[in-house]
Amino acid sequence: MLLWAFPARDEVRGEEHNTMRCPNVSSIQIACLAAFALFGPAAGVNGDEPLHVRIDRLMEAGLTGPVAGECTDAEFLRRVSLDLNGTIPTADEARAYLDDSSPDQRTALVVFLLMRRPPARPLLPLPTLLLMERRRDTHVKSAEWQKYLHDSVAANKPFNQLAREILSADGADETLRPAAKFYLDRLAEPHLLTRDVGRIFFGRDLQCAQCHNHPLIDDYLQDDYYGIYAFLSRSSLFTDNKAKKSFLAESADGEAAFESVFTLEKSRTRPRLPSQVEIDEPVIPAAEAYTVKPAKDVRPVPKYSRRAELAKRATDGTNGAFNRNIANRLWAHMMGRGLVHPLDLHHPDNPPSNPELLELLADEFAAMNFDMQAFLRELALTKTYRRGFDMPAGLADSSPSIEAKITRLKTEQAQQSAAVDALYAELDKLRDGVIAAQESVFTAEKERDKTAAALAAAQKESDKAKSALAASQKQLPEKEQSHSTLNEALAKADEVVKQFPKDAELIAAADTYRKRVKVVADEIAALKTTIEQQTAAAKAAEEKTVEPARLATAAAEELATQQKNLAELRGPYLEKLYAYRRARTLAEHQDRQTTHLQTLLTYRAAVAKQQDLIAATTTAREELDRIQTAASQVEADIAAAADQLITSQRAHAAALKIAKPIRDQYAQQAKLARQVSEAAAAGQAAMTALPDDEGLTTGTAQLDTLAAHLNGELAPLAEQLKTANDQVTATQATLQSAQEQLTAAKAVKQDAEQRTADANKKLQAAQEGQQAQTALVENLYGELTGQLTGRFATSALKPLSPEQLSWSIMQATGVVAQQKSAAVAELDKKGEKDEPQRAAKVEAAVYDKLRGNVATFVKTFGAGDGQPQNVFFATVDQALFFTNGGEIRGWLNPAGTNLTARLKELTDPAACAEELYLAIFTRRPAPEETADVIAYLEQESKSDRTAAVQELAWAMLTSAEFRFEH
Amino acid sequence: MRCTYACGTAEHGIARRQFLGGLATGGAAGLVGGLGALAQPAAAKELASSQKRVLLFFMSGGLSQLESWDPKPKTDTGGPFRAIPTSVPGTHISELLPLTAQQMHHLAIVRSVNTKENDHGKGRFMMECGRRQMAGAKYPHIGAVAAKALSPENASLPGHIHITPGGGGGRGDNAAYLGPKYASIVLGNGNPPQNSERAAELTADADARRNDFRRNLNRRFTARRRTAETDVYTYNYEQAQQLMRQREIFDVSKEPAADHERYGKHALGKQCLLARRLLENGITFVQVSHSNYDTHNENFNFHLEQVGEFDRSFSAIVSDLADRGMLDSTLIVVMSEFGRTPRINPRYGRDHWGNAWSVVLGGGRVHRGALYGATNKNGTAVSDKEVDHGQLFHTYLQAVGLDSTSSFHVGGRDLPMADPAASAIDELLV
Repeated sequence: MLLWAFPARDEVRGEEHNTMRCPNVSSIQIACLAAFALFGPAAGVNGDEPLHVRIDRLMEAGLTGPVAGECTDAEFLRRVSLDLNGTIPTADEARAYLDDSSPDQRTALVVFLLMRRPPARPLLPLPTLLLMERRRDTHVKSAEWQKYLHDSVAANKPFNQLAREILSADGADETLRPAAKFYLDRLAEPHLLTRDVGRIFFGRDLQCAQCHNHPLIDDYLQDDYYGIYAFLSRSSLFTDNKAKKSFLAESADGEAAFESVFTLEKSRTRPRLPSQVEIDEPVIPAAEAYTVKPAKDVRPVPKYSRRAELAKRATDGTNGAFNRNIANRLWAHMMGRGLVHPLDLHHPDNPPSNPELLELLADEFAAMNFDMQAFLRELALTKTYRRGFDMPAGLADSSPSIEAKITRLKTEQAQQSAAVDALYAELDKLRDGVIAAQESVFTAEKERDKTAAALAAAQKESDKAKSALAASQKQLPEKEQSHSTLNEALAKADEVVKQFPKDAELIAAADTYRKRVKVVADEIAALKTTIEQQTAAAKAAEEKTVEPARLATAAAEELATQQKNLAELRGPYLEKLYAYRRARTLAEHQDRQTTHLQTLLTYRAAVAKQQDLIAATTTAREELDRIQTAASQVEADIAAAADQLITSQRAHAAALKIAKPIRDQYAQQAKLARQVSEAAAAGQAAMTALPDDEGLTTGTAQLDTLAAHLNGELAPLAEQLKTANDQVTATQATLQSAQEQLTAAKAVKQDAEQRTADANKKLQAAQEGQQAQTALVENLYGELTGQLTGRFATSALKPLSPEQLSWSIMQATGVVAQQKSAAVAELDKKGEKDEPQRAAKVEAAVYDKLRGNVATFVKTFGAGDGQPQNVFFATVDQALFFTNGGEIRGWLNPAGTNLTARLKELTDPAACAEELYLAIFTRRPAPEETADVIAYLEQESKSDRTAAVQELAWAMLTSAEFRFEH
Repeated sequence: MRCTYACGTAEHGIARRQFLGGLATGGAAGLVGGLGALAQPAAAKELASSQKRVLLFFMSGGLSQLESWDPKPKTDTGGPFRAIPTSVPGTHISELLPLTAQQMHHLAIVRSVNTKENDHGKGRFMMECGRRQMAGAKYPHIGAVAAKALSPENASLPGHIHITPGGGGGRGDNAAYLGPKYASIVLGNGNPPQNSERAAELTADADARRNDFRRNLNRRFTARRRTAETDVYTYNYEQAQQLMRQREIFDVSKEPAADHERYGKHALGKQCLLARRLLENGITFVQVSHSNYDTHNENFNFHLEQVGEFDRSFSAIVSDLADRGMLDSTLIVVMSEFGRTPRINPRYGRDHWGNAWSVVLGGGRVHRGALYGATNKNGTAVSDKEVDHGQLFHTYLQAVGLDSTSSFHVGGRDLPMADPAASAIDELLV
């Protein structure tokens, strides 16, 4: 991860080029390797085609739905650099790669990354995290462990060999002592080992099956758990107090017996690997069971080691679970997630997204002798690895073939489901047989124990009688000996008495002898009687053991028969169990295939409906607009009518105002004229009575004249009055019409308001419908995204591991380059010239200098110790670390030729943008992105250009694009 | 997982989407203003009234039940101290807790705890994680469980805090499979979390500008592909900004002098006051440790001194939580790894004793003033309603409204919230 630079592409193609920086692989070699990669080693192993082509074919066959397009060159470069080199490339490397246009550049890059030396360190986190999950050191130091793994990866040690070394290690072999870390740092606790061996090597987290069958996963049985446990339960931690070192000790006995805390069902198993039957074990007499016998302060070593058996059987290439697990884990390393995901939950309800493909990978990885680099290379060359991370185009387009596919799948599903049911029925029967046989074994064991006890009791009696007899028999010769001795003494005494017949003392002595002889003779006689009796008793007691012995033998035979019967039944039962599990895996897979297509259909229907609803909303909005426009027209009409009304009112008032004085004047004038006329008429009448009254005549004439005058004046006034009255009438009519118009307009408005409200309601309903549908579509889209990612129809966004994150940030900011130059200078000073050692030394020096920083990132971004390390989590303290932490701030200070120093020197803001994007995002900026950078620099750099480029770099380093591999 | 709170119901799922959706679209219209439901006063208020919290006192070393919650005066095991009446008629506790005695109507005592464990490490694990330690298995601390199940997903403040006398700022390793997000943040001496202060050379304006640029980059990227992980990641920076603005929450000196006086000038007083401040500001779980009760020697002198200190600070925070209306939403627990032997050893000490001891609970759904279970006359055995760590753990969770029999869903697997073999003490809950 530290020390590589890309060769120019022509180097890879074999043309000599003196800037070749890959130290120990000649360009011709690389060219050959590139060709080899495409047509090479995998082809030799199985079939005529390279593995990646076969992977592509199976992947394509499994992907029934839409698929994303290919990733860009820049994306490929970043991806493959992170996966195989542990870091992003430098800006210069990115520039060189992107400027190259040779057609096979991706292949060449993959080959280069895997063939460069030293290749170990970038791949080191893979086995390290897999095996120890950041557990804290207890018995084996990390440094030794890292060196062991480093050397293993550097030598491209086959994975099964690595696993075998680890699973068989006991810490005693100095050269392989670090391999014992797996066991020793877990304190050799058999349950912890069972869990972690199950998870890490077989992809099964069986922990919940320790005390009962797994409550949530039907296929994780207590029986499965104890099958692995049986391999490990005899092992324990042994500490050599003098050497102050710990080792693994193993006992030669101890069986895995278990009882479910739920059902209280008892059972037992011999060692059994996942997806295989119980193993046959050698029968070794107890006396010969150990190479080193257990004793105080001695590490026992059995002749037959179950742990060694585990190591051998798991890794010999025949265990499908082991092969699938590691193939799936390597796949996940490259693709961001496993074909089975989570990686340690292989079981039928969590089937591989492509079962055939997983089988192929597992088989081929074993066939290529577990060669990790070759396998990773094949994965890197697949189309799946080159998939873009966008959602497939045309996700919502209709495609009539899907229904047909669903119908076909459903038919297959029905068949598969029938097969599963049939297998289950058979399995159930076999299971009943096994349970009954297990019961019989327990019964036979009880009988065996009972008869053995009875036999032991009888034997004890018999032994007692025998030993009593033996004791008597032992006494007899002794007694006879003393009898004959006494007899001899008596004979001699009698002879002496003959010579001295009077000697009373001698006579007494001889009598004493005689008496004594008699006593002894009596004793002998008694003893003989006793012996006779005891012989009879012993015989009787022995006879009493015959029946118990017979019973015990029979019971032992019965037990052996029952055990054999159980073993014979368990084999087929387990085989059937595995067949059933395989069938269920397939059924579940088919179910998921169907579900995916159905989700797709549902999504499409939902999108179509969403479009309809959007159209409906648009229509409703237009309708509303129209109504509102109309309504606003009505408003204008009302306003005009109101104006008109006011105008009419004013006109009417004005007419009335004009008419009033005319009317008054006319009325007055008319009244006057009438009065004068009446007076004149009265005068005329008076004249008739008084014809000659001159005064009267004159007055009357005057009155007549006046009346005529007045009436004459009245006429124009009447004319005036008529005009005025006409005006009043006219304005009144106008007013009335205006009033009518206003009333009409108001009615129209009311109507329009009602219609607006209705239209609004309609729009709201449409909008709500659309929103609900949009939420539904969004949900379905999310679901579909998950499905497409899980099926590798689009590339997963892969969060960078703490190691990748730290190295990539240090690469982008120029910290790595700085340390590299320093290391090179140091070597130059020492005159060290020989490649590959030189390269290795530089890499080691850079790693040593910077590993403290890596540790800081691991502490902040890593999952807890002993937990799976491939889970993503984001915490506030991580963001605070990036936002305010001293590390990032320090690395962004301009120094030497680091990123910010280079950026500071670039006067062209567009060039600045390019450098930023190449260094941090491993790609060139799009025009609008360049524009953003330019705008930022213009805005900021008036004050402080250094600060501005630091801010830009910071923003990019903390963006989602940097945090994830895509 | 399924529980009655903001942690997995369908409503919550939608709310989260809406929230994140708002975040994404809000960005275009000036993101900062639209950020974070919590920044909005209404949401903050809603949080204060509905969010459940836990305050846990860990009496490190093993508090003597006889010198605290279950005194046995005038017996061969009782020691020199009297029992005094409390605010709950009929309930007596040790005279070393005169102030707490006046708060007992808020609390409940469980006097029948039997964990059968006399080892510090194992006992502590059992009490804090609700299960017996098992090889091959790691279980989360109750604080991690509470933080995951009770904290709003978008909370800017850490949900799981341990206040300790020294050190501080770092993240603990006690969340097991729930993930480091829920591991404890250790606040030593009331220092705020690490890296929560902006560097001197960076102005607030510059920080705002670079964050705007970052948001813009994220907007471009997530337009192509947006996942739950990109959401969480990008949102984390907004949470960090909020936390930086809320830094004063961790500064206990901002509390009134009178309260400092009332809680006691000693370290525990300060820690309790900080605990109050944190709980008031919406932090889900706060653990205060009081050290050290491992009194193999001079048990009575030590308890006289330490329980007295505890009495003052503890009674103050209980009464404050009650006065401020927080008791219904805040569970209080006082626990140890175990109790102490009734037998008084020749050094006037008491030794480790997991067979018959007491735990105190209060607040949340806990029955106020309850007395649950009993020990015999001289405290040498549980005589009534024996309970263990597993039942208590379920009870704590139920007390804050969680369905303790439900499971968390983490990384594609279901993990039971509490030991499926145990269940809550229903009688203690209302």
